[in-house]
Amino acid sequence: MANFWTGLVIILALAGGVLMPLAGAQVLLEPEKFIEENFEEEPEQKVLWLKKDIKAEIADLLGHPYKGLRIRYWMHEDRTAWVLEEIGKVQPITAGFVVEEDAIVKMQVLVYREVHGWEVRYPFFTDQFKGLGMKKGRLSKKIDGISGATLSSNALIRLSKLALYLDDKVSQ
Amino acid sequence: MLMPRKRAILAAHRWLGFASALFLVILALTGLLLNHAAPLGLHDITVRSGFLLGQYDMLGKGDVRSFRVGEGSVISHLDRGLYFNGVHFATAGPVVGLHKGEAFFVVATTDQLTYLTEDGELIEAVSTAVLPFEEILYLGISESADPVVVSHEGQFLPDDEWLAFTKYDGTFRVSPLEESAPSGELLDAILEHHQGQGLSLYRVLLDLHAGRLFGWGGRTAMDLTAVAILLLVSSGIAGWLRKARRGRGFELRK
Repeated sequence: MANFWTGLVIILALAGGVLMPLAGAQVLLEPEKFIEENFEEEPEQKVLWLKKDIKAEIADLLGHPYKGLRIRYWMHEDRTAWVLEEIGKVQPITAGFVVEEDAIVKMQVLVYREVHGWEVRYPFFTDQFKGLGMKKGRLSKKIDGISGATLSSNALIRLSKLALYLDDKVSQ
Repeated sequence: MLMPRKRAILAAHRWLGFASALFLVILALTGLLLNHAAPLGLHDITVRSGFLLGQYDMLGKGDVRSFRVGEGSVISHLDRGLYFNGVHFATAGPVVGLHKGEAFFVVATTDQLTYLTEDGELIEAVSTAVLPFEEILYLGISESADPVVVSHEGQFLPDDEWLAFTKYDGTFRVSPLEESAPSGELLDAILEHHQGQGLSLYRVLLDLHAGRLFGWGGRTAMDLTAVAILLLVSSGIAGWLRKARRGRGFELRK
């Protein structure tokens, strides 16, 4: 009998330990640190004002209008960094993108707030974005989504398109 | 006389039954009602009880805080929603400061700086995660009448576009935020956005049935009730078999 209760307590404790980190927002990396880590020298902080034509093109990329009239970014020489947000299922996912020479150098999930789909934060998914470019509104390579995390995968694919588009705008 | 192990099982069976009885009654009643949701019209009945709205993070009129900015404009905050004249524009913590610049309004919340045009269009919402300070306490005014961001990490002066911030050690003053009473129309618009049309009784019963109405604790209680039912069934059957076997043995001996 004692063994039964000990077993039950252990199972509940293990289940709690696994499930608790999934509740609420998970800050995986502070955006400030992401910027620091991806520039050898301190980058300049700038903003891109979103004129009507840019807003319309962004709406095409995202499939919905972008809320806001300007986007902040960091730039040093040819390298730009963007901290962008997009809704996965119900909560926004914050992701950092580093773009250089029209290709993504790094994509990292910084804050994850959804209960499901958290697998998108792992390198086996994020590494697929390395070297990715964009031609005629399409990514240069197909990204393999994760079953059970389709909405989060799609949100990050949309954001990667946005980062490449924005980098193109500020590099012109 | 019963063996100690059997007595313990019997006692566990009894107490498990008592403890899970209330939850079983809730499960049975809500299950019955949910099974007949359509004829009972549960989808069409809306609930606006303060307690229930609170369980769904839907707050009431008394929780709306409003502040007048510029001429005839009102910034309101409810839960984590920010509203300009009743129209939702951003998600952030409580408002701690307001500033009307030459080109735009600045709404300072504990975790974010939000910039708005005079028409209430969102320019940018900047989380403190990308700013040199983590928690904003107030917005103040320096001796030279420049805005000052007062944070846990010290005071900072923004540039003209509120893009870059430099540390400030000079004197400043902070005027307390003056709340204004929003009109009934404005309150209705905010609550409409926050609560939607209210809660359907079906949704409340479904969440009560699953325990979700009381969050993680409720779900766990219902899970434990389900486990308790399984244990009750198995200990009940075991007890019945034991008695049946004992009865058969008694008859054979006779």
